[in-house]
Amino acid sequence: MKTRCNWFILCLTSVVMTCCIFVPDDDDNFKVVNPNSTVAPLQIDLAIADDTVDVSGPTYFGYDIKGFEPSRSYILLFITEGASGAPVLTEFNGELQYTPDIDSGYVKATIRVMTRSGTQSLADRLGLEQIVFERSWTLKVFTRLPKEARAIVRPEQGSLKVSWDKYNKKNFKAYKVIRIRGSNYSVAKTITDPDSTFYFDRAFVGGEVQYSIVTEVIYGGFSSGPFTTFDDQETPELVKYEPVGNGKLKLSWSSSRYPLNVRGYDILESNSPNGSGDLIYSTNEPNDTSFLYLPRFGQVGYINIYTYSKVNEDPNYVHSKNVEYVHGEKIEPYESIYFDPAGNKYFIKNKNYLSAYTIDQNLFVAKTEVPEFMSSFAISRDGDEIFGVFEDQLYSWNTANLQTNYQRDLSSLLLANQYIVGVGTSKDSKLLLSKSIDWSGHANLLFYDPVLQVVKDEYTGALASTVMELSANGDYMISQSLGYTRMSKLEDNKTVTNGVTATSQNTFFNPYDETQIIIGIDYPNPEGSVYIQEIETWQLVERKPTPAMDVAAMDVQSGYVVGGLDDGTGNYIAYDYINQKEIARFAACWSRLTFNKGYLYSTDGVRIKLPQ
Amino acid sequence: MKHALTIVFLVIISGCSLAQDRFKLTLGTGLGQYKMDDPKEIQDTQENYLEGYGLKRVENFPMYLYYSGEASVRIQKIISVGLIYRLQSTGCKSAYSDYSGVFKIEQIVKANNVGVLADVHLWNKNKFFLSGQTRIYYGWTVLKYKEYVEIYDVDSGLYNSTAELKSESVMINPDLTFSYELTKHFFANLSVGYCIDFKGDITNRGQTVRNFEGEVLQTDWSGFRLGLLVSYKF
Repeated sequence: MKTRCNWFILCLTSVVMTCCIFVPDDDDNFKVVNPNSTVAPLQIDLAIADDTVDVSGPTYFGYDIKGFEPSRSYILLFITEGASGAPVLTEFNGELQYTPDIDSGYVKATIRVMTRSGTQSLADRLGLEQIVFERSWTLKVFTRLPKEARAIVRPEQGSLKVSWDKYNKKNFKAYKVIRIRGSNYSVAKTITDPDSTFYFDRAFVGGEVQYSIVTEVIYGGFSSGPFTTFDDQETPELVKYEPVGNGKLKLSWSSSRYPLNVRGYDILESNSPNGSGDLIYSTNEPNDTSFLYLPRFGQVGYINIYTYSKVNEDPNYVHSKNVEYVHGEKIEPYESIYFDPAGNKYFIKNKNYLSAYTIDQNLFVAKTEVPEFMSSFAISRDGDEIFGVFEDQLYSWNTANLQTNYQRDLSSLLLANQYIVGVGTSKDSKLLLSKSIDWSGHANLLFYDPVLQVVKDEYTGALASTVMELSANGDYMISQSLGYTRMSKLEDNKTVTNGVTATSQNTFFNPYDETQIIIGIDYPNPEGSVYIQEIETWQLVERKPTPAMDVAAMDVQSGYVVGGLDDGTGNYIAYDYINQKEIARFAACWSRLTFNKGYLYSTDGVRIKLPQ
Repeated sequence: MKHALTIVFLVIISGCSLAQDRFKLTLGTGLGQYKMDDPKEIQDTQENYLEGYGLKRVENFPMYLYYSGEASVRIQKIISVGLIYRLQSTGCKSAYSDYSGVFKIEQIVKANNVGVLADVHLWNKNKFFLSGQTRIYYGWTVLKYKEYVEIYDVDSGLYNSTAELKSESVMINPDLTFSYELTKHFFANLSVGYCIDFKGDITNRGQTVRNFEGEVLQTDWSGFRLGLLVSYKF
């Protein structure tokens, strides 16, 4: 009995201990909820025509989703097979970017739009019950972009043609022609026809230009070809210039190799190799490649041809290198020029050299060094010597080879502050020396015997002159001093009477009448600018009719004058006042002219032989 | 461990010889009412925080059985003293479920109490006895807090979080016990009383748990007790 009670107690205790902890009721507050979603269906459209799309690089796809409910929130996933993650978008801009991470192959791409079910179930409230709409397509990935197209550039059909190889793939979108000229970078042309693999550059007329061809494929891929440089410096050049009569010159140049692109030409003339110069001709005819031109004389000209493109771009022209031309014959530039009486040679002084050339062939004969500021020379009557004076020195050179005959110190003839400023020769081969005796221009005239080395006669009252010439009888002197040419008389009392100041530097003894002088007037006179006057009486003997002109140079042996016309053109004329006819015309020149034996010389280094 | 000690104690006692009628073993169960104001506040706070999920309180610390085991010895004619062990528990539950899943928040509170008792015989007639008793015990309370969410057919739809909080407190439980002598040694007892819990601070890994106002939360086992026990005297 006792044992049965003990075991009863033990069992009761065990059962109680196992079942005695509070256990909540099984009631989980179950609610009946409609499991059907209230979301309106979405329609996903892709902006591509096919379900399979070629992709060769980073690509943008367009999409459109219809059926959004404004009160709901949606998320969009762009899932590409094999990608490590899917971009999640909460704002839909209609464009997705895909960058392939495989070299080639097929990739499934899906647009998935999710939103909450709206059932208000527990799962819905926790955001774990979604309604999914999706659409997929296949991306065919290939990394081979279009082969880079190389631009081939050459002149063709009057323009500049750029061509390249055709891109044959189905995913062709467009060619773009990239053009660089100067600082301008532009897309010259966009071509959407794959068969059209050329472009004519209508703007190019010369110089340097670069092209590159960009081949675009659909959905954003492209490849850029290398730049091809085309450099055509063979712009039109002055081909020739030829006299065509009346002193005119015909300038011709090569036409542009791109006549279809050319709007016209401007021709400029400069007097320096690097200057652009002044416009002398302009044309808007591409085929107009010549014009008649009255050239300047006396200077070397430089012709510059500007070729203008029809297209107004910057720059829209190209210009040629300056082409030198000389209307006449180039000689050495000089400060002063002298001619031997026989007409065989001429002598020029330039800086510190005295040079001799033949007149006919303009061949160099000899050169000798002289003081740079020596400015007075004279050739003996027999033509064997050429003299020069500087300060108190008398120089003599042999005209045959400019060997120095002597250099003689004349300081014994001078007092302090006196200089020998000029030299001339008299009929008896004596030298006329102009001895400046003060700073105001007064001088004494010395007749110096270079052989005996003595002064034979001295006249006072002269004016310091650098050029002096005696008349045939030795009584009169034409001298140039202080910019004027003067006629002076040598009086028996050894004085010089300074005569009328001639306003022209062109005053000569009449070689055909020793009683007369011929003056070329340097201001326009409608009745003529050549005066013939009596030396003794200074009476006008005759006025030779000439066009109204400033006489710049004169050759009394041939009876020619050269000077600027007073007709507003600025042109110069060479005129035979004896036979009353025009010899030649040319454009204005700005150098000093000297006329001798049919040759017109310019200090700028040109001479021209005028028709006889 | 406590269960094992109780079983061992009862086995030992059952083997003791019965003599002099001074010893008494009592086993029983009863229904206790448990105040648990602060745990209720925890549940309220969570329900408010998760208001949008439709949670409803299906259990709210109801009256629940407690279990006692006592051993006493009469030291005087009418006074007995002894040792007592009592196990009590209750809990609460808030839940919501539908076709898609279930969401539950549960608290299970249990206390192991060990203490002493004093019994004073008050009256008896024939086989009926009346005594007044006072029990003073120290209780170790464990509160298991559990949040459970399951969404059916969703891989990431299971959430199960538990926390075990503890508290310790002193309780005093005076009551009146009516006994009926069934046999010379067995008695049936009915006790009516009230437990006063001096409350214990709820701790989580040694840190006291506070509400948003910063007040310390406590367990409170206070409430009426109605017990039905069987005694064996020897």
